[in-house]
Amino acid sequence: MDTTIVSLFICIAVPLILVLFFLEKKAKQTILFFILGMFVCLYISGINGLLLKAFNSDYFYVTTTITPISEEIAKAIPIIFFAYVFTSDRKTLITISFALGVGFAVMENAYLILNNDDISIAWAFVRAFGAGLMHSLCTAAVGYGMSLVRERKKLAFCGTFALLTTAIIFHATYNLLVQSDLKVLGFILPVIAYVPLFIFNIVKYIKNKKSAPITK
Amino acid sequence: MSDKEVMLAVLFYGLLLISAIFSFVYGIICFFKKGKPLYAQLVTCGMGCFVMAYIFQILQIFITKEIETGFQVGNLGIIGAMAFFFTASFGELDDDVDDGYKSLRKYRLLAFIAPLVILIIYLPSLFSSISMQTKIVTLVQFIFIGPAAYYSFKHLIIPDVDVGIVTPIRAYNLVQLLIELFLTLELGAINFNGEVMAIIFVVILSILFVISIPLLKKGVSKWTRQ
Repeated sequence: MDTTIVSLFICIAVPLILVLFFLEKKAKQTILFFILGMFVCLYISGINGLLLKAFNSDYFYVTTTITPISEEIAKAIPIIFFAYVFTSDRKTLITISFALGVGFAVMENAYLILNNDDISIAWAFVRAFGAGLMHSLCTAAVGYGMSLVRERKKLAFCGTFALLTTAIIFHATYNLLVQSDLKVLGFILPVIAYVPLFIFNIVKYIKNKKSAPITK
Repeated sequence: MSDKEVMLAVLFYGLLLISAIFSFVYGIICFFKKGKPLYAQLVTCGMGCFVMAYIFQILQIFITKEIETGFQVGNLGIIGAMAFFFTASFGELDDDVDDGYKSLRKYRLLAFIAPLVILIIYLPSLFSSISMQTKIVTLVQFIFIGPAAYYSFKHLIIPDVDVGIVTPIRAYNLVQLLIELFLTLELGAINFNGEVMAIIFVVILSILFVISIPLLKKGVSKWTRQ
């Protein structure tokens, strides 16, 4: 594995790990899963390299068919483990899923910046909105679903699998679009998926604030 | 593939996509609210899987100008949708419908007809000229369609003992069973290059997609009234 990317991971992760001991439970969980997301990215980049070799370096096929599967499974494992062992609380699961997805996206973007000479501010914005949102949304979908299916054992196995397939298809569609002439659509896709959720959350927040009793 | 073939494939997957989008959006509007049954939410998620699969397949054909015959992520959409349908029927509904009484045993056994029919439809694909990879991919899809079809058929024929859950959604269960059946037939037709038959099945599937969620809404509303 490339030592530069490992060094980058150490430089970001170690200060965050050190600060973990001084944080409250929720902040601790969020930061921990952010670090975990970066680690998953680091780990899966090695696996993806091997997969690329196994498929005769057919970059288009591997990135539109194989890596969405490997990456989504790798991102889902910590969430599934956390949901089964610790909590099925929806808010917690969604928060840590977003954190893991963001951690993954940050590391992936950092890796691409290191390995790409043709970088611009516009590229950075496009990557940040596109890949950043895509990874967070895919992982959050699994987290949200886990909170639904975790409570009923009979729902768990197939429900988890079904959610994973949804995340994989979304990821693969993004990868397919960004490598085609419809690049712009690829970067808009995660934003389209994000905006309704954002509006829904804002509306919910306003409603909750209005209905909350006024305390002096 | 020629441009005409690409357009034709996009057109027919587009038809499936539009009908699946209708059902998915209608399901979200009706069932993604507080107090609505998880069963209906899971079925809607299944429709969402179809939507995503068809978007992927259309884009892939449009971008690469060829239909991927081996494994592609679009196949996962059908698998995911079936997993959602199975989860809804087996995980959410079946405990309330079937208490394990001996008197219901014949319905449990009779329901095996559905996966058997699915298997019978799949078997000829083994002897078609398609590649081994495609045969395996089709088999995996059928493995997921089979159990979903079992529960659709079981909930279609099983009598309502005392709770009154399956009777209101029998019409929906029939449509779901037909979706599973025509999906299998469509995959079979594609494997045998039966384009005309595939087109007919696509049109029927689109109609079934459109009517499925409204029928489910009608049935589920009778649950909540009780």
